[in-house]
Amino acid sequence: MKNKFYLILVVLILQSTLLYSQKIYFKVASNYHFSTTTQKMPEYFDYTVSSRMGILPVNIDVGKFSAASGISFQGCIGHSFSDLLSVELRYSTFSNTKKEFNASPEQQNSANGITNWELRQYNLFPTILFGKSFKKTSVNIFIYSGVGLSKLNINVKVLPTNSIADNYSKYEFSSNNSFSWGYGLEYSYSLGEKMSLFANIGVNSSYYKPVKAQLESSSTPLEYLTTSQKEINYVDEIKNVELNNNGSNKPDIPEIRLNETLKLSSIYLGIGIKYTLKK
Amino acid sequence: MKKILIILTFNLLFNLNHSFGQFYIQPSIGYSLSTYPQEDRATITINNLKTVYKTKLDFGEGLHLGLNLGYNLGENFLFEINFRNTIYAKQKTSIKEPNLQESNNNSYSWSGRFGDTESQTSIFQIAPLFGVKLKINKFSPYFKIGPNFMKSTVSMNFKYINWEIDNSTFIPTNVIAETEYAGKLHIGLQSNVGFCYAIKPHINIVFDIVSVSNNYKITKVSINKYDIDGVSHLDEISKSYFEIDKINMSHSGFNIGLMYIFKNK
Repeated sequence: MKNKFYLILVVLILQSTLLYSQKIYFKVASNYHFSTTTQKMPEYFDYTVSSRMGILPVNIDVGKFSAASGISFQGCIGHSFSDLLSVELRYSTFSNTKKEFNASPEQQNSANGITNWELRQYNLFPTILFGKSFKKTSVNIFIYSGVGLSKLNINVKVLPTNSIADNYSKYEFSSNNSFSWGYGLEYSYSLGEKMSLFANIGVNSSYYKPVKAQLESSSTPLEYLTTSQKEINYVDEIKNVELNNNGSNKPDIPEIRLNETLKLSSIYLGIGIKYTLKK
Repeated sequence: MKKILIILTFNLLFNLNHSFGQFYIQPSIGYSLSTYPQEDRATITINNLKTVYKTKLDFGEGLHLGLNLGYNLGENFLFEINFRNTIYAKQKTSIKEPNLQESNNNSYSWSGRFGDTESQTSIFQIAPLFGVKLKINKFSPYFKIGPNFMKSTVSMNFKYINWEIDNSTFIPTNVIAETEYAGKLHIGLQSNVGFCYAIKPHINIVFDIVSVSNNYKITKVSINKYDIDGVSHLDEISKSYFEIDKINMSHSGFNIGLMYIFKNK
């Protein structure tokens, strides 16, 4: 009885897949994102170095910062309800190409550093498309929003001075949810019955707020550093957090800082291929 | 010369319906949310217990009126000039000031600005946009993109306490400062997506999402008032104390409009 039920279920699934497959398509695309605005670099940590003159703060601030320029690759499965309306589920990966940021404005009276930001995002975007076909071409206007995971690493390198030798650190930020949304225009040209090429232009906004950071490596061996120097927790509110008498963080607990959102705004251009299962 | 211009304008308006096809005019109203709010922090440590306050000013956010003057190039392309002006963009933030006179033997340290901050922003934007519109019966989704030219003035009022120390005693002085930040025409990027729905052959209702990226450059800072305990100290204060290089006016918003098409094909 049970086997018959499964058999009927499989037949029904196969039947519906074959019936609707003519409206199912796959797409792969590659996009290049150009940042459209900048923000002050998020202050995810303060950086200091030990020198002959004692503990010195390092200027790593950047006034005009953006990690939104980069490359994204997309794969998607879509379903056309008609020539006019389609829905897609897009899987998109993004990694930034503008990674290195020199402290700016540079400070003459303190040490200056360079930060290297490596951001990766893995997103799922439910997308709705409104389209119109013209002989061999078609135009779609799409809008999407979705969530994903973001992963961030920041490397800091201090520019050597007379009193500071080679100094570096690498921070790894916890993966955390990110939210993105955007819209755009897609122009396709049919290469045959099932295959078409397309080009698109769109705008994308993405928001990522890390919750934890960990010092992964440093020019100072990690075993000589305290927990507060190696771990940072980002929270919504800081109220009556206990400090040492000299105003420094308690060494045996992670440093607590207010969270900050990394915002990415970009315009992107891309090309891709669309394959329709059956026409 | 003025008379000639008036006659030509009237002539153009009178003949618009007959001379040119597909010209349209679209008044709209909308609300935008800041996508790059300016965050400030103030930290106070009392007896080694640290509290950090966060404030946010959402520049670019507010209610605005818009007007689009456009032309449909065939059935699927359009060119338009979009004007938008804010009609309400006021913000207020407040961080309760510590009363250092009640500090007794506590140890205190603080950084950042406490007190009240009020801002009022006026933004005027012009955006020449090129777009694609897909006419599907009465429903026409569209996508538009183009440069965004922005002119803005931000008035900010600060009300806070400056603490002076006299013989180990904290003495409060009430400071009221009024500043104004202005810039020149600054270029950014604007894009819109939305749809029109034809309720009559000449009239469409328009639902529109707008995104603007514009990190506005401040070129002029004016300090209009700087009072300490009710006495003006305007001559003593340096502009650099209130200087800001840029204010990020980037925003995303929703508009609803009514489009009148002068002539349908």
